[in-house]
Amino acid sequence: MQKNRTQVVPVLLAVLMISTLVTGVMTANSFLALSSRTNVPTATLSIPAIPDSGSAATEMRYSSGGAGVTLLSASKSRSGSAVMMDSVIRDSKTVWSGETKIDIFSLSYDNAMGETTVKSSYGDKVIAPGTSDSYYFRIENTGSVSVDYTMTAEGDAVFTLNGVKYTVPVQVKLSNSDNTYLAGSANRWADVDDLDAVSDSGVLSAGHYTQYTLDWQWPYEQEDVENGDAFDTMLGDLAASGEELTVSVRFMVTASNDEDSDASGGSSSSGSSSNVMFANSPKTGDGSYAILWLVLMILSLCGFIFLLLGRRRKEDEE
Amino acid sequence: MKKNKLMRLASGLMVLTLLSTCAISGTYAKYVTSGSGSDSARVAKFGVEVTAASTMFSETYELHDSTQTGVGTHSVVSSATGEKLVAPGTSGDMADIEISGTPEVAVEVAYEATVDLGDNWVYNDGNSNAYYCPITITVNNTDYYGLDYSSASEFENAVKAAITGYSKSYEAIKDLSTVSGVSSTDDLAISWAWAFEGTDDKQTDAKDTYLGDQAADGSPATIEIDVTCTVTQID
Repeated sequence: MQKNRTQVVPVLLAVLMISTLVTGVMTANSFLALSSRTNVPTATLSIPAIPDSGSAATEMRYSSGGAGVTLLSASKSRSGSAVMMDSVIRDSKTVWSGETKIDIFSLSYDNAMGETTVKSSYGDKVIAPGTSDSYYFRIENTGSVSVDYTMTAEGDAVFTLNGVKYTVPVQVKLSNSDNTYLAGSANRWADVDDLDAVSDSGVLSAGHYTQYTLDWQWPYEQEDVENGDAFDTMLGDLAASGEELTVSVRFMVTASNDEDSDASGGSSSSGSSSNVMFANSPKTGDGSYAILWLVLMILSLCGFIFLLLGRRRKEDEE
Repeated sequence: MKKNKLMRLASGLMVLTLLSTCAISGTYAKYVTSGSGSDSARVAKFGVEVTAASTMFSETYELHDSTQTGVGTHSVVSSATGEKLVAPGTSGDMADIEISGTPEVAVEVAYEATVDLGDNWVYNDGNSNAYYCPITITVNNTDYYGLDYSSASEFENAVKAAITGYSKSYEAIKDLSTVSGVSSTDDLAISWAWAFEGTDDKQTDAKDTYLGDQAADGSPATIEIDVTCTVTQID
């Protein structure tokens, strides 16, 4: 019996060490995700995957950009089923991370006949009378619990010349997935600066998204505006003389896990009726079973304690 | 010794286990994802300028017949300062319209013209007045002879249509100085002439003299040509 215990103890010790190390690596990675800023090329850090069955361990996806590495998304596992909080903000081309440059405006614009009618001389984005476009972006809940989100906006089209404030006559409409207008309306365009008052919030169920549409235009002919052409021409001449007249738009989104993990809201990502093509969300979970390692660690710890106690009792008896 | 080592190892693993447990519990805090997207654009440059001088008609015209002596250097001279004239044997060109600028938008260079002959380009044969305007207006090498038309308004409309129809479009970031001026093939050239001697039986000395006599009597025939060049962004 003593010989058997002598053989069993090292085995239990080994199991305990391995399970402790594995669990420690997983949790160390989680700290890395939340606080690390290092220059690494695009890479995915992942735990060796177990065939997907729904639960997940931890995976962080990084992208290099600017001065360092920015976390795109983070997912954490809890004991029991695969429960992840994961949300992505993106448009049809880019996943937002930190401060992201998006493509609301363009370097050139074509008319209905495909002829380029506006073009930048210097490779920077421009606007002119007759230009317009639409921009779509989404907040997607790719996790397994509900998230709360808030979206706010800023817009600026005002410049000052010789102490007088002028506004570049760009107009906007901003709507959400429910076709609710946050700026302007179906029949009315708003000023760019009206975006400052925009604030929209809600809940997204797991696997759901909400989408925003920004329509903007600089009317070729300004209705009900006296001397509209003369004003537009003045802006173009000022630009040619070196004045920097710019229009800017910014969206800010924050998402956090909802206290009620089953709160409902948003549109389902499957069978989306959106007319904008969005690529599939990046995968951020893997199939590792963290709970398995945790159970193994606890069992081996219990076994080790049992053996120690048994040995002590035997020594006492001796 | 062996027992102590074993106990130390066990103790170390226990501590590690406890640390891991703390770490796991610490990762269940609330998570927040945030991001912002922004973009900006500047107003596209325009900066187009159009300049033209008004020198189509003149107060004086040079003498072309070198055999004539003692008449000075001008064959036609206005008696009223500032009043421009036309007469048999005179001609003139519209000064070139100069366009400058390199706009970042596609543009159309359009011309509009007003041609006004008034009511006095007539010849009275003793019975009634009949339209008579022997002036030729040339638009980009195409002649428009006044006597080819049956009325002043017909002649006016033909010249206006020729000038207006000359409009051209240019792509964005085009140096417009290369599309105007004498060196440019796109330049709009307008000139006029009143032949000294008619080349057909439509123009006669008698009818030309009648117009001169009417001018002396205070009823001169007049001609006014205004050309406007407009550069407009294309939608």
